[in-house]
Amino acid sequence: MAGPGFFAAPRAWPSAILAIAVLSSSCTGRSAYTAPVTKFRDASAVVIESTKAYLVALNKTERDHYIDDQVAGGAPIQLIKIEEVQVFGPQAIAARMDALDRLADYTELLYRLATSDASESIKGKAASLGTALTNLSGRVNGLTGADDAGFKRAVSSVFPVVAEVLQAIVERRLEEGLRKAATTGAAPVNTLIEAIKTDAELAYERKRNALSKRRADAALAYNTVATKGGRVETATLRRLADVVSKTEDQWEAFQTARPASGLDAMQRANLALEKLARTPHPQIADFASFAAAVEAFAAAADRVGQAVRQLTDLQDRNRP
Amino acid sequence: MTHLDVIRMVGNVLTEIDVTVGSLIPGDPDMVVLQDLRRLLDSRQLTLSRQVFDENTARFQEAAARLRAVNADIEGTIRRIDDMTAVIQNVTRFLDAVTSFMTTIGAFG
Repeated sequence: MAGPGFFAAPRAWPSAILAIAVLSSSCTGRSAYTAPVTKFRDASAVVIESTKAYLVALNKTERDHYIDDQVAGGAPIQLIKIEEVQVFGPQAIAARMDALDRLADYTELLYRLATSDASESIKGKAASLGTALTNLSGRVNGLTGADDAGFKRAVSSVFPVVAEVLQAIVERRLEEGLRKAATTGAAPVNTLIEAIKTDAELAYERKRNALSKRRADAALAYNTVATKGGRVETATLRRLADVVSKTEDQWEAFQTARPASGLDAMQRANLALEKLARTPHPQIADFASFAAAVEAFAAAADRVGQAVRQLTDLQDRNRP
Repeated sequence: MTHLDVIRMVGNVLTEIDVTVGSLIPGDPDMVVLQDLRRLLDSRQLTLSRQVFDENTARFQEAAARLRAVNADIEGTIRRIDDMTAVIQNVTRFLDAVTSFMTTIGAFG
């Protein structure tokens, strides 16, 4: 898999929340920020889950693609071939899922930091997340595949930054940690989001390839029966036509289930938030601008999330 | 042009091939040829998606530009099922261009 991977995210999503958190703790009343902070957290969660769905599905996409191909060609299925087409091994997948889960935990922690006064509870969560990240680092270091190089590189560059922020939270140097993360991350954050987008787009392209093939196979199966001559039962044709129809529904839904569109909106929201965090005396227009960017991000995340869910539902219903 | 752009370009051609395959009469000998070419192109895309390449080299960019030129030449021709000879020639030409691109960037090891 090309690109540094999804795991650049810790600086990305949290940074934006951190920016809001800094503002909420130092500029105006916290309550004014609860809605955008909540929106950002929720939108991030949707994008994390959608990206995870693509990553989890990547190996399955390749397996099913191979199996469908063998079925369509009446060829034998070989387990050795199934293993060959896997993009990641089981340990590599598990490490990536673990990393994304920890990122979701981190985003949640920062959301709490921006919206809650329960500092002891936040401190405890920061400490346990720090431990989980240490364990994950060890696990990632144990990965040996050539495909893991980018992932390992991303983790090794991002985790120390996260660890620094967590340490500040545990030591109750909240504002220092928050401000540092909010004001120094603009360029790396968007570079990292770009890397996430590349990985998600790769997964999307392989999925597009598999669905496209399935469309052709469905039409071919129908046409084979419809043109073979002799009497064909209408029920048989109806069943095969239903498969064509459902496959076309999937294909249509898939066109909007593109995780990169959510990540694009995330990049724009991040830029707006960074800009606000760097503004010495933000005015109403500055706040309105970042609130609008968060709204746009939330809307894009919602669209992607719904499309991914719709696609999953259609695939589940289409199983024999 | 990026690594992802190339993968997307290959995906677009695969999609065009599938539309053609799904429109041919079963048993058409051209279909088998087209399906074999698709299998090879799919394998190339998988190989590309499993590797990391330095896109910022002249070698990568020049090879990608050559591939893009071939793609531009064949664009819109793969669905013309009334001229399957040309369809197969064009898909073969694109596959050869992808193979040449991958050889140039060292994708085959």
